[in-house]
Amino acid sequence: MLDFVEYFNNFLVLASVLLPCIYFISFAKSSRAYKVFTLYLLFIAIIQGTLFYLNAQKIHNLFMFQFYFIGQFVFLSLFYFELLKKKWVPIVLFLVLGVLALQYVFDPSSFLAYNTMGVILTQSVVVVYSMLYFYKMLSQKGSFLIVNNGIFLYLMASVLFFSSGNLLLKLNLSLETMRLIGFVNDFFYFVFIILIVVEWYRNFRPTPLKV
Amino acid sequence: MQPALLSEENQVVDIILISIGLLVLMSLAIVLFFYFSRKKIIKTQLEKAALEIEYQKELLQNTIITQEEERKRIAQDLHDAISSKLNVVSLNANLLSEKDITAEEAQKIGNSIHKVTATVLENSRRIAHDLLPPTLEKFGLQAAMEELCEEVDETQQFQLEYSIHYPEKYLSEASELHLFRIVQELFSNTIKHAGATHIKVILNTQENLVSLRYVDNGKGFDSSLARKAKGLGMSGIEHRTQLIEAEYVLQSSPGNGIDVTITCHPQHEN
Repeated sequence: MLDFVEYFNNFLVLASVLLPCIYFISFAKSSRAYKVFTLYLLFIAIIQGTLFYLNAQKIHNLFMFQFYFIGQFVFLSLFYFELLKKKWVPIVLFLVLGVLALQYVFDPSSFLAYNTMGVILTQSVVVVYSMLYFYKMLSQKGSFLIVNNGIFLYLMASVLFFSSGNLLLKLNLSLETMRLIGFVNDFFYFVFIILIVVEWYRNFRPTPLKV
Repeated sequence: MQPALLSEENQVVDIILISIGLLVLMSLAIVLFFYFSRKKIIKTQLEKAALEIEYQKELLQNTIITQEEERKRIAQDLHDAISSKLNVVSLNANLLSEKDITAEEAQKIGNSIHKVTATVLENSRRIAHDLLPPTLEKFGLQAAMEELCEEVDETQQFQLEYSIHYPEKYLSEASELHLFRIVQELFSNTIKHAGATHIKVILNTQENLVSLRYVDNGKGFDSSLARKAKGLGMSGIEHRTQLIEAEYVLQSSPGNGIDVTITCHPQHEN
């Protein structure tokens, strides 16, 4: 079982690196939302790659997690700004970043710890954006609906996983239990990746010109 | 590790996993709800669009039928009022060209030709006038409406009451023509079908608003059924009001005549 979880994890890292590659194929002629999303995938790929490397070198990697959720929040906020076309999205982005900055200023140690509040705040805001996008798409056609499903499902599932991180670390769980919980998160991440690929295949794959 | 602690630890893990499961279930429910709502909304939109297309088709068909009927009427008019009369002229002219004709006969035939050509002229003038009243083009809607009302009044079939207040060129030429045709059509409906004794026509212009009211006391019809059993005339009127983006209110019930109000705003026009 542990072996399988390990392989599955490595597979996900590989998939995360491949995703921006396929999205770059149609990069030049696509909308700004598509470009922002491709950059988001690239960012995730870099984070995943770095984590993989740090893990292999047995270096403490919890601080990477800060970059992960803050970067994810910034890119997805810009992505939803392009989709929702609402002026308040960047304002919310700066407000949340301000709150996080304040937190790090007043409590610098939280940068190296597991930032539960930050995760919940950023992921919930993105979940709200994705709900708003669902609402916007009720009566019209548009792209990124499948990706929106993925973001919604994955963030809903992982917000609890990530926010319980401190508790799990304190419990000193056995390696096997930790891996199992990690696997649940990985599974939803896998679903997310599949939905991203499906979106690309259905809406953005290069098609031969029909004459 | 003690067994009690182990179970506590497992409980926490269980709770977390169950909570994640519940959250995912909830998310799935929301996603499904979204997709079903979307399907339903798009279906309703499609149905609405189909209805709209159906209605446009019906209008187009009615327009074509009206056009054909109009052509038939014009052909009939030309034949009855001009061709047949010109035949008489041609026959008479033939007679004139015969050699053994007395001066008296020639005089008589000449008179006849003169009389018939005068009728033909009058008829052709009338047909042209019916097609497009020159008054409308030359003197505007106010004069044309007054002329139309006078003409209808001259038939002495009804008691006609009218009041026309319309500043020159307040609406575009096209809208003026539409309004004029609507009144013509209403008159023609009343004359043909209603058996009314009293007609009231009011054309009023207030600030940014031109309103036309037409009331008769004829047979009337069930206006709730009017949509289905609409005669060509009424649908033509409705079509014209749509073209000039006017509000159109038709009130009628059997035995109570009709009451039509049309309101249009000059700023709606292109």
